[in-house]
Amino acid sequence: MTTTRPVLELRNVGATFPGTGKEPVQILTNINLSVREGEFVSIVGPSGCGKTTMLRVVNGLMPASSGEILIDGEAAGQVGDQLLMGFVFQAASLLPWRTSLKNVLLGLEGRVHDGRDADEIARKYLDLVGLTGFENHYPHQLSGGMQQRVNLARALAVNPRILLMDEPFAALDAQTRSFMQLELLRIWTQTRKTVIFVTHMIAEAVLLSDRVIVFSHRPGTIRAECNVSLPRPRDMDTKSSPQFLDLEKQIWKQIEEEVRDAGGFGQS
Amino acid sequence: MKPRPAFTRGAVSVVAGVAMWEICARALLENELLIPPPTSVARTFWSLAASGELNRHFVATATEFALGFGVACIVGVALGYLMGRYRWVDEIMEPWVAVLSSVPVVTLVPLIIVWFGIGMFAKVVVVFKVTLVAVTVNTSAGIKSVDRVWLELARSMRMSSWHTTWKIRLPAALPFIMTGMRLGVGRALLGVVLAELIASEAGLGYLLRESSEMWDSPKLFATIVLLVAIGLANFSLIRRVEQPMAPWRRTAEWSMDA
Amino acid sequence: MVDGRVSATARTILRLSSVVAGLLGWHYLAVVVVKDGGVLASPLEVLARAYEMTVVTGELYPHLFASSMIFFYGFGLSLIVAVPLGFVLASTRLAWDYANPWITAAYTAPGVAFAPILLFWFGIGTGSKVAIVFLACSFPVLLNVYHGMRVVNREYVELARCYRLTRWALFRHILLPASLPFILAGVRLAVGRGLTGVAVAEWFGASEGLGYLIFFAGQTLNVPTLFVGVAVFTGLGIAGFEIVRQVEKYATPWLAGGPWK
Repeated sequence: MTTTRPVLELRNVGATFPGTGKEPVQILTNINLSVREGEFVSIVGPSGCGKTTMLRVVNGLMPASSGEILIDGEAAGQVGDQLLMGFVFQAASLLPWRTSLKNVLLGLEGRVHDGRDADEIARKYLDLVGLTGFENHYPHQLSGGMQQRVNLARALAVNPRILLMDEPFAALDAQTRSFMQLELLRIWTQTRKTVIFVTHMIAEAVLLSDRVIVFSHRPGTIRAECNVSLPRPRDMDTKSSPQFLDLEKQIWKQIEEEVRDAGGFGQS
Repeated sequence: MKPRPAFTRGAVSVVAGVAMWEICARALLENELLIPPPTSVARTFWSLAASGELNRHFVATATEFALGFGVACIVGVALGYLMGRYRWVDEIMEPWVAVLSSVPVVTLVPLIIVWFGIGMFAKVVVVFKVTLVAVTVNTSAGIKSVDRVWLELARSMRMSSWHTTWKIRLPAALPFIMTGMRLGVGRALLGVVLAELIASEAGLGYLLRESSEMWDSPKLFATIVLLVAIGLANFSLIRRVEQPMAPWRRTAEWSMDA
Repeated sequence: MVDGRVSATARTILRLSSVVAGLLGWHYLAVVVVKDGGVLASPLEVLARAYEMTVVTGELYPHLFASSMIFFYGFGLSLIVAVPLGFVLASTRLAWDYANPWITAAYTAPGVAFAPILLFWFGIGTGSKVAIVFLACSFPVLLNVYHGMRVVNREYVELARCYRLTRWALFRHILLPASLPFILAGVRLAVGRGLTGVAVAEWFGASEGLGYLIFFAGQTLNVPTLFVGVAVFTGLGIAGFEIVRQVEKYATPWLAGGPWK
């Protein structure tokens, strides 16, 4: 890629929650981040450091209390609704009264006017995530991993500029999680979306990303950035390569220090 | 397909019960008025149906019920939605809904008759009141309990308010709405029969009173059996409708209320 | 999503103003619009009548007493009979399968349908009235006890087996506490149905009681008395529910929020 404008830029972004007392609680502070098109960026950090909050601020679910957010160089607020972010929630937020196909159609319904086109697009994405044949299944008939795949298909179907994923595999059992990581790699390779991925699992972050961002404890700010130059395509074997383990250790050390700074495990 | 044991046992029980009733009534009791045997009840039932008298009363009750219930459901869902969605509406309406729901229907019937006379309209009002309360309260609860995640999903997809309401809030509240309707049906039936019992010239409740005043126990029993049948039919019908409407809700909670 | 931040004071103001506005509206309606005392009485008239009936003549009390007696006898009897019966039915699949059609039929039928028969059999007197209330209360309790026992979490029962608990210990320490919420919900229902039963019973040839008071007032177009009767009845109902709620809180403190109605 030549030096094009980054897709997403955060300049000095901060965010607060109204606190229980008079003072609002500072969740994020001084976030400066630049994401290029097609990049897969992961965010890791101690619990409660504001990783999820950052995603929500980028998506507009929460207002930033300070700083600017630029998408393709334009301030986020002004961008029309062409520029959707796809958001994949941790909880499989599928609507239980809709089949998987109709769930994927949800985002398309307001946007694509021809029903048949929308249908085609939805089927295409369900196929991409490997769920052909399950179009007419209801969420309660699908396993956790399958539900998250529908979730992903739904987020991708609206062709978002950026895909935001908030610990999407956290609720899955370890085996399914490993499979889903590989699935995600495959899907990402095919679509080459710009992804911001929040996770607690360092190995997961290193396996999936081009770059890993380490957050500090609350108030969250970017403590370190780690480039992951492992060659693609990656698979389960990559996880045992010395380079991988080394990166993992480095990042873990950072987080360990953060947790200790914050006053020990379980606080934040 | 072999029926489940529960069903066969139930059927056996009913048949045995009716048979015992027949035997006891004929053999033991001398006074037929006290407990008419099922055969004479059946005969009376048949003659009532044939003469069209049963029809007349049944249709009267059914119409009153359908009108009141239908209108109340529409108004109830609308009102419940507003209350569930907008806190200020909820606060304003809450005291009145609470009062209305705690007044037993039985005690309101005389008042409604004072206001609306003994005609059909009064009965419709009774059904309306009972159903409205049940549907409103439950719809409101349903709207309030819409999973926040879905609403955030709608926001992140930049869905319009209108779409959010029709595609997310209302479908999510549907199980609650159905519960409200189910509660309303049982109580509304009681209300309408009671109102007819007290002051009416037609309807199943009227039949109840007429037959008891005339000491016509086969007719009385026939009416009671019919009412029981209606109650049971309502119950299983709603059960049946509720499940497919909300297949994702495992009704492990045996929702028992009426 | 309920529209967020409405402060507690704003809420109270809204509620109060709603109630006040309603009362004023009622008064206006009664005095200015309708003007016919036989149709609608203003809140002031009702209050005056209430005062009269309680403090001045005391005529409310005999009626209150009569209805309460019937209620308590019928309600109490139903608990004594229905609760153990529910346990018994829950213990064997067989028993329930045979009894179910009858119980469900009796429960789903409008209770008022049975009143005339009971009057036939027991005559016009307190006995038949207690019988009506008894039946009205028994079925919700019975069904709830049964279902409470049935839906007890599998895992608890298996836990009991692991510890080789006797049947009685299983019942007392696991099944009973676990089904208590359902039982109490049934009791709460029984209160509502029982009070309805009292009113229905008093319609058929009673000469005293709150139900009688209401019906007679209705027939003589004595609207203030009617309102007073309705208010007292409602008050009883609310009091009854509250008492059961408190019992629920005390007996099942582990239930924080509780299920929806």
